[in-house]
Amino acid sequence: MSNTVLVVDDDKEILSLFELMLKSEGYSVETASSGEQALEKARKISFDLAILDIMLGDMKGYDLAPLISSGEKPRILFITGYSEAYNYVHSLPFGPVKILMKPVMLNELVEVVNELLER
Amino acid sequence: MVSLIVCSVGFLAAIYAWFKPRLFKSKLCWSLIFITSLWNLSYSMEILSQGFQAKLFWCSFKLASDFSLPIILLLYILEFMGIRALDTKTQILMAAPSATATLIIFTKMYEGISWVEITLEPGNSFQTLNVMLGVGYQLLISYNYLILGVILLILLRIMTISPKLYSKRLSTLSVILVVPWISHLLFILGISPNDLDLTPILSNIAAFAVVWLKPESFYREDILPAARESIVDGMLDAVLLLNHRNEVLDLNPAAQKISELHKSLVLGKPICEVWPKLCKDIDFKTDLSNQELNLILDGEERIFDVTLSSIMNIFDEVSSLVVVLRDITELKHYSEQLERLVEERTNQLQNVERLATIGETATMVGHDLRNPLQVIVGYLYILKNLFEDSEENPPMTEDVLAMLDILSTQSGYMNKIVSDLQDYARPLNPQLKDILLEDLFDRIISAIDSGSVFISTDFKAGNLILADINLLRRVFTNLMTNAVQAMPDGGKLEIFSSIQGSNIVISVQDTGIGIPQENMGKLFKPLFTTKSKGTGFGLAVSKRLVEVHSGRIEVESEVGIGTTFSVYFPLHLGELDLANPQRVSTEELVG
Repeated sequence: MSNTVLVVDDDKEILSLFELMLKSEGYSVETASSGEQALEKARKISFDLAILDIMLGDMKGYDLAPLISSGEKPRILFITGYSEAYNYVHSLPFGPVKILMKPVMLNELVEVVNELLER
Repeated sequence: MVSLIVCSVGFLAAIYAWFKPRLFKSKLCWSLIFITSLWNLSYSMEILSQGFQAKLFWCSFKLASDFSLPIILLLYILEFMGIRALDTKTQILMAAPSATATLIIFTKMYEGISWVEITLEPGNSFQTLNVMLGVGYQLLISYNYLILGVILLILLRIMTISPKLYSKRLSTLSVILVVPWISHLLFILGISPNDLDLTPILSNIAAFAVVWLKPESFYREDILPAARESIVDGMLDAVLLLNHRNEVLDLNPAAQKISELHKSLVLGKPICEVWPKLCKDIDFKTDLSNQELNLILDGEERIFDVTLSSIMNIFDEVSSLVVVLRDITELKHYSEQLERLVEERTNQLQNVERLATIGETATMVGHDLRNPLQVIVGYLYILKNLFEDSEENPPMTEDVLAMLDILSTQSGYMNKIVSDLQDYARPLNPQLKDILLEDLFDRIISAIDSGSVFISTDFKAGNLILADINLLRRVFTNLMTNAVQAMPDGGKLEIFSSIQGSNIVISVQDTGIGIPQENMGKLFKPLFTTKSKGTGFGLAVSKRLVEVHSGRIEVESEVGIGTTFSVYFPLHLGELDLANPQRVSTEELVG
């Protein structure tokens, strides 16, 4: 059974890029373009990994993370263009998380996702 | 009868003075009124009372007050004049004879010493007692005359030495001294009316008058002009007094010093004749303040602020002019220094403000650029994969792949600009970990496009550092990219570590074009660049990233020979886990 990944970003182009890439790697991918949409999907579907942007239109990615994750599942990967996030995410009160800065190389993205899902 | 009224007023005044210590600060003042009043009263009562015993009773009082008066007068005069030559002990000692005499009178002891014989004087219509004084009293009277002599000497001395300081008080005192003495003289010479001694009542009135005139106010009036003169003479400012024809009336020692004029030679002469420089530079016609005068004193140029104030006569015409010259050389010097400093600081602040605005904009623009960059970089990768996997039309695929590579490089360059701008602006919070330099530089070297530059590393001297891996990578990527760009025709780039004191130093040495001396000071300033494509943030960011590690960057360069950047990091001895260093792996690196 393939792992399910939730990608949350308010930029639709990025959503389809990551979706295309991760699907080609054999993951099953769901996307959300807002925090609210992400919460809705998380209620219905159980995810193994959530890839979160930090500057979402309606909330911050680090505020969304504890709402959809128990720390164990889904794992959290932040991908952001917001450079202060690097400082901030290190002091988050939950789980082991990863953070990558945009623009992230897609091979690097796949490496990190594989590693997080221990594949 | 008049005497009785006067003495009762005197007593009242004495009581009033006793209860109003604020008005009559001196107890001596009170004593003076009291004693003269007592003297006056006892003398009057001696005359008016009937019978030998009663007259004797009042006579005792009369003698006691008579004997006490001179010493009280002396002490009062000393205090009144502000002379503090006698301490309290001496004062008590001097008052002792009078006190003893008073005691003897009232205890009636040693009468032989006090008086020999007391009889009613038959011929006198007012019937006073005729007292033949004993040896003791003769001595006491001599002592009192001595005191009166001393008082006279003191007054004469004051009058000859500093009459100005005491003028008002001297005239006041002359009242209390001269009036009773004249009456006493008249009595002795026997030309006193009805053969009565008027001294007691006149002394009483005089003492009363003097005290009533408030000696304190005279003290102030006397001292003020003297004090002012002393201030003007002692002050550092030069003061000149001119009359309406601008002739010199007075000048203080400071004015004599700076004008190099002697007072006695210039008084009465026109200022323009004796001190042409002042006359030329300063406009005396107006009441202008803040005119400036430059003088050379002891070979040094001094600047004076000149203030003029006119003294008007009753017709509102200028009768004289006070000219004050204040040396403001230091003041001016300091204020100029301060102005320069303010200007400098203002420039710095404006610069800081400008950079802060740039920083804010950079963060915003950076964030907005990162999303499109992500999309471009991502699709470039996918496109490249698509063409690499494609087997159709190989020559065209090669061309497309080459173009995609160029697009990748250029988007990578855009990414670097965005990162530099953001790193310069964002607050930094380094995550310190042990890092092996070997691993770090392997990764950096593989990521940069070194072209025809040969790169070598040597970390034998020190291979371990406690730092933030991502920040460190950015620093050395910047330095090495610069070095490679400085060697367009190829060259050697050497990276090596060394231990210097408590620092580990990582040097980046190239054989490039070098940095001209005039650019050395500006290297680390933001927005400074010599490259057509540079943002001017690379070195500024590197410096900042090194400084958050408590380190520093030094640079040595020679045009045509090459440049060496040396990055100093504190060794953090004891914090490094030398036995088990953490290996740098992909997952530690961000962006």
